[in-house]
Amino acid sequence: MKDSRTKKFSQTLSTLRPFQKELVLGPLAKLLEAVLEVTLPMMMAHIVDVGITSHDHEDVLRTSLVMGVMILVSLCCAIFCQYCAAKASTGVGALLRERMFTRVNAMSTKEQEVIGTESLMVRMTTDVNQTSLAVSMLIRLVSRVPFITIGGVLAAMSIDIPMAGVLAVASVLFLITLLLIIRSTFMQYGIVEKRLDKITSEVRESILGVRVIRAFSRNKHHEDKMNDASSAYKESVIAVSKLSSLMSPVTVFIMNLSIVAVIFIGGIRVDTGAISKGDIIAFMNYIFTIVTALTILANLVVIFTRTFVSMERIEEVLRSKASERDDETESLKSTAMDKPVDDISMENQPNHPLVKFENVSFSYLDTDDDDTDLLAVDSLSFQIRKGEKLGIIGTTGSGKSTVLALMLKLYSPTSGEIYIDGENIAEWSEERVRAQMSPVFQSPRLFRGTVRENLLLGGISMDDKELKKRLQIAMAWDFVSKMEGGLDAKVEANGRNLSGGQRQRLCIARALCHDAALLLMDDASSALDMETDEKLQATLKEHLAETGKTCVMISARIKPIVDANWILVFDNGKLVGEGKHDELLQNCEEYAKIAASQEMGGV
Amino acid sequence: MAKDTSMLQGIGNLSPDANKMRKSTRSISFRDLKRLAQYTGEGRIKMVFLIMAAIISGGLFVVAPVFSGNAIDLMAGKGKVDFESVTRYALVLLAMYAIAAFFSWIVSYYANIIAANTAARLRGEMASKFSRLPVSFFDTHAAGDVLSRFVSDVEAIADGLLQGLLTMFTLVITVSGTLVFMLILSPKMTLVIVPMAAVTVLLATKIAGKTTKHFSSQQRLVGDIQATIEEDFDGQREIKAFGAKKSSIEAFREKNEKLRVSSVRAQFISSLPNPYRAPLIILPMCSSAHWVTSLEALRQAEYRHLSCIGTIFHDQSTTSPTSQLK
Repeated sequence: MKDSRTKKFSQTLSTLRPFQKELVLGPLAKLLEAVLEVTLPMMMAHIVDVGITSHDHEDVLRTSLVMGVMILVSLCCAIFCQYCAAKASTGVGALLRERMFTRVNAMSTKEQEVIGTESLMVRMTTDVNQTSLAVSMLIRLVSRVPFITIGGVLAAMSIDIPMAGVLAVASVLFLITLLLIIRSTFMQYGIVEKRLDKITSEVRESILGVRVIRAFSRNKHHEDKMNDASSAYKESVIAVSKLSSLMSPVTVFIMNLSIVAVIFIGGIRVDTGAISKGDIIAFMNYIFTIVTALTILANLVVIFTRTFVSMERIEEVLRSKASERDDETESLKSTAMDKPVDDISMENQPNHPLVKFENVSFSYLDTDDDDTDLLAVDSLSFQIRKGEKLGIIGTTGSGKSTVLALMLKLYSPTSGEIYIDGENIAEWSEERVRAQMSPVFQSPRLFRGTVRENLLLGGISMDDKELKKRLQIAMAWDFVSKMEGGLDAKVEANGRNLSGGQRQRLCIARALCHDAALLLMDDASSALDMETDEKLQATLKEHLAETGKTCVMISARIKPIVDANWILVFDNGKLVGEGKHDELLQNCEEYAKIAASQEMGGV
Repeated sequence: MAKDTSMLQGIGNLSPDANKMRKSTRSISFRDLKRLAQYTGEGRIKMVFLIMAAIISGGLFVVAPVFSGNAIDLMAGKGKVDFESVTRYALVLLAMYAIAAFFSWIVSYYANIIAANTAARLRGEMASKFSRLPVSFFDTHAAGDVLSRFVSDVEAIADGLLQGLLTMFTLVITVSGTLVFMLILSPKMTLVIVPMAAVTVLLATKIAGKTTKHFSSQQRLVGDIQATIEEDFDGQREIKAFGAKKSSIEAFREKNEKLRVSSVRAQFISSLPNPYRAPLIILPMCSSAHWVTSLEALRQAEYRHLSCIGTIFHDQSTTSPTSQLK
């Protein structure tokens, strides 16, 4: 049982390894403190029996002095132990956070989506804190509690065996009650945590989607959803408290019963002359000490119960599949493989297919049945020729953005193959695939930092002149130069301090700064006004011609792709037409429809 | 209306000073009681009952040691035990403990329920506030910040305020009750012990005050790292596409290390009030014992005193961890 648990939490427990010293020395110091603590009541009994009863001033003074020294030593022990606990517990917390963070970053997009951002966040904060708290408690209290309990009972036995029996029985009863209550609450805490996750995700959705929610007047709907999650959580908390609120009153009552028993039995023992009055006082002290220790134990068990739930959730992340291949080992492999690619690129002439999709299908769901309705893209075959501009058009949900994600190997095709320079990218590391392209995503993200840091994301370097040039191409220089600090102007989380259009232009500039041979743009200028967009398309065209870069432009509008060398028309995950603008107007019904709705037919 | 603005201020204040709420739960006053009653709404009558139950159980726990002390003082020595009285005291004690246990169960059960209701109500109010807040609010406040307010801060307020209040009530009852008993038994000894106790409490409060500073700097780093985590998870597409994995892990490591260093300090310092208090508990006991002998008086009351002192300090040391939890 114990062993299987150790195995179950092996990833989490391995973070304790660097703190072995603290884990041993801390409890040892605490043990010494506990020894002193148990001896103190004996000395108190001595003062009462000898000092007070016989009015021996010197004895009282001497004993008090000894007690003073003992207290000082135990104080030092306690402080040392606190330091060990603080160091180890925060260390474990930091290590867990780092490992989880690294692990999540190595997951594929699909794997990340399974866990979800909000759950990951709760795991990396609340659950890690809980585990860290448990480590601290482990060092500070776990050695102390059993020692004080057993030591207390032993010391009591040295005074009087029958009365110590009372204490022992009470302690055992106390422990059994405790464990019973805890066992039955354990499962319920798991439910509580899950429902708290639910609240987090509902609220997060409402915050992030606030614009959409407002635009579609879904306020009430979302408010209800938040309230539902909140009251479900409330129910689970109340269910747990039904049992857990019994814990302290019942356990305290058990210990109080033992006080009554001590008074009763003690009376008999004093009457027979077996023990003295001072002994009973010492006894009472032991009961108080043991009650305190066991109450701490009760709190400990609650903390550890919750910690096991948290550890399970942490372990889930640490053990989850992280299928993106490790960069270091991969770079060795890919240098070995780079050779043939170079050979191929030797014959790279215009019109050579740079990217090729062969019968590619993809579903966001992991289902085995061949229900084609679930496919985001369905049996796609097309080519992107070097130096060309390829346009992809289609309605929302037609699978345009999925193509981009597949090219970047954010997802792997459910079936079919994708080739770059004639090589199947399934054989390539993610990193190598991504080095070939610079994307601008639909609703792209910026990060906290400066404009420069955002442009050079990933730690590439480029001088100011080149940065400025790219900002100019992206029509972003105008506003960046006006920002306080220019290239070093502050960017808030997700570019909060910029407008939607400004964000998009910065993201285009970022893609240009990365200078890959393939520029991928997914609805990249949707938030720009007509005039700026036209200027952008012109400078971009110039840039592409100048550098010979290949460009894939995904758009819901026809205008940005009207001049493309080749256009793919998507509908419901399928390729329904391809060709040049004029040809498509003639022979592709879907394309003609889109053109008509955008009044582009005459262009 | 007044309540509304306070809620708004509450939300608005989060980023500049996330600690404000925490501070407010730390120093609990009777004004908070009113506010809590307001948040709980339906619980007004329940609150009164709850406080009465807390007073009863707390009061019984104060009085009990006097009875056990009396019982022990009846055991003068071999063959000199007044069994009839001892049995009577033992039975009275039994009844007192049973009643106290019952009421303390009532208190903890309903305290949990009221806390859960309060949290749900606060969340409900915040949810409806969400739909009335201008969109610009969400532009100027990080999602993670608002989120932590909705999730963990609400929990802290509901739990902390209620626990704090109950602890305060129990403490006031225990301390004042014990003081009364001590004054009845021996005013002179009380004079020695009370300043000692006061010094202990003052010292502990002072240290606790110092730790607040460390905690707020730690709290800032926690907020920063939370924002980093959220940003990284949400921006995975970009991070992957632009090969920023390594640099973002590096940046995270740096922040994580800063947080670690700061939390070691905060946690260590905050744990100090506990050991510091230990000597101050024993010293007055020793000195008072010494004092008792030199006065050659109050022999009858000696144990009762010691147990009373024990109660005071026992309570103090058990309440201190709860004050830290907040």
